[in-house]
Amino acid sequence: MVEPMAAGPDLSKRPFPGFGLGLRKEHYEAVLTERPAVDWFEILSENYLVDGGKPLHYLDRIRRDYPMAMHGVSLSIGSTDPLDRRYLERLKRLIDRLQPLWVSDHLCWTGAGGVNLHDLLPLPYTGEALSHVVSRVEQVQDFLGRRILLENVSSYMHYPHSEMPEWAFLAGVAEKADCLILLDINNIYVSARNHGFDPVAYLRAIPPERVWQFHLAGHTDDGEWVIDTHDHPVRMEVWDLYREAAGRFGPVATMIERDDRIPPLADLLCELEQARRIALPLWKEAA
Amino acid sequence: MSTGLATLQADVQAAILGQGGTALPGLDIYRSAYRLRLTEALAADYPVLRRWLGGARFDELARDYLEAHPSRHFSIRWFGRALPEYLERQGPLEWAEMARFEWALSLAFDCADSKPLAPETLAGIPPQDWPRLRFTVCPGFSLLRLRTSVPHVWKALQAGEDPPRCRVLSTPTAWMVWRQGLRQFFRSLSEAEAECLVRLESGAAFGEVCAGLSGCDLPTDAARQIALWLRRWLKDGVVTGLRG
Repeated sequence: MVEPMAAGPDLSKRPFPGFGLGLRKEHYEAVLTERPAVDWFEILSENYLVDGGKPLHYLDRIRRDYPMAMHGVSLSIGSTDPLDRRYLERLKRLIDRLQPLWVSDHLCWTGAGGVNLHDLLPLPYTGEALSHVVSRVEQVQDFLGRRILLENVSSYMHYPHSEMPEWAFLAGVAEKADCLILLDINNIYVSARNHGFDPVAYLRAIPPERVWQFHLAGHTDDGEWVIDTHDHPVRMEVWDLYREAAGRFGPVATMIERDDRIPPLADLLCELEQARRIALPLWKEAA
Repeated sequence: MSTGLATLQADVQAAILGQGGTALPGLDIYRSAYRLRLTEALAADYPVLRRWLGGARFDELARDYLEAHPSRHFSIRWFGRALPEYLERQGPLEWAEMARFEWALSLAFDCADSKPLAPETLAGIPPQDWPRLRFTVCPGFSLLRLRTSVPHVWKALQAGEDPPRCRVLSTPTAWMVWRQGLRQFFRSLSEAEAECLVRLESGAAFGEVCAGLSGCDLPTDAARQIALWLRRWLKDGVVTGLRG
């Protein structure tokens, strides 16, 4: 039976808030006093699913000056456990408080049988997993009353069970569940190196109109494994892949993630400038 | 629901937890990252306990704790919740009390915000109504009765100084932990004050709190003593409102 395709988002309606950074507590004071030239901030949602105190105090103050996107790590969209209603309810309250640009999480699972491993575990790319994820994305989107963005994770594990490449799985989930994509350029690079695929082939398979955000980050490379550590500046190879993605997808909100060995804000602003230098001429050309 | 996927996830998870499971290529990275990440999370909740025990001993503790109490909450913020109780059973008393103390500080850190009850509100209440007043205590307030001198150890380590020897006390000392504005505070208090605060927090009327104060022969003495404490509780933001 042929089902009518769900109406996808209109590419011309994709918001482009510019170039952002991950908001980290180490930078709260600097952000408030220096009002840096960051177009928007991405927050880690779980850090603010608390009742009060410093986290929400700074969040509200910084939100007055900057648009924000919410990025979560606990949705566990691919888990075979039931969706965590308590989590979704808290998330919804934070959405109401913050009025974010959008809400994202990862195409992964984080645990099973009630245990949370607090890691972004890749899924086997099977038809079964795909339908499972699609039905859960639909439930989440219904509950939140909005489309969510799903991010490709970095992966080190290989499932012999997989029936399709990761990019086909991601594109399939996005199309079938009618959700959006947060494309992590560093994760594509990391997984491509670890699993020996062509990162550009990955980009080619992703429906451009569904990509609303890019992540950039640093990784470590010990020769055998490339690990997505977020503790280094973005590496040259990842900038090259970003150039490719920027050319292919057009103006997409771009941000840099740094989660460890957090440098002064000024260093991250320099890195963000590099993203602007790469992408803006390409987008101007296209326009 | 997908039984194949469920079986596979249970299997992969068991391997990450070190409880058998399949050895898929690359899984070792997840296994070691899991231990590292949760140990770091525990260290973030118990920074002074870690400093006190040293990295190696703390990591060992974290490994054992992780095995006994894997995270079951959506937020890693709550992973360390059971450590005080775990140490109560497994560890030396002073480690357990240090963990209780630090967990109380972390509860105060991101509890709901509150404002102290304004003294003017109380000034307008006629004396005959006082015995029926019921107060609210700030969210994140903890009252601990500690059998060791860990808060003094905590204070020294937090300041980067050599800690004093941790003493076991002949009678427990009451400590209160709370937040005012954006800062956490703690102080010791007499057992009498502690008892009053416990009753106040549980919703007892002011008259009952006064009547329960031991060590005061006359009700007026008790009221006078409690009035002094109340002034301090208001100033410190511990008492935040009137019930009903």
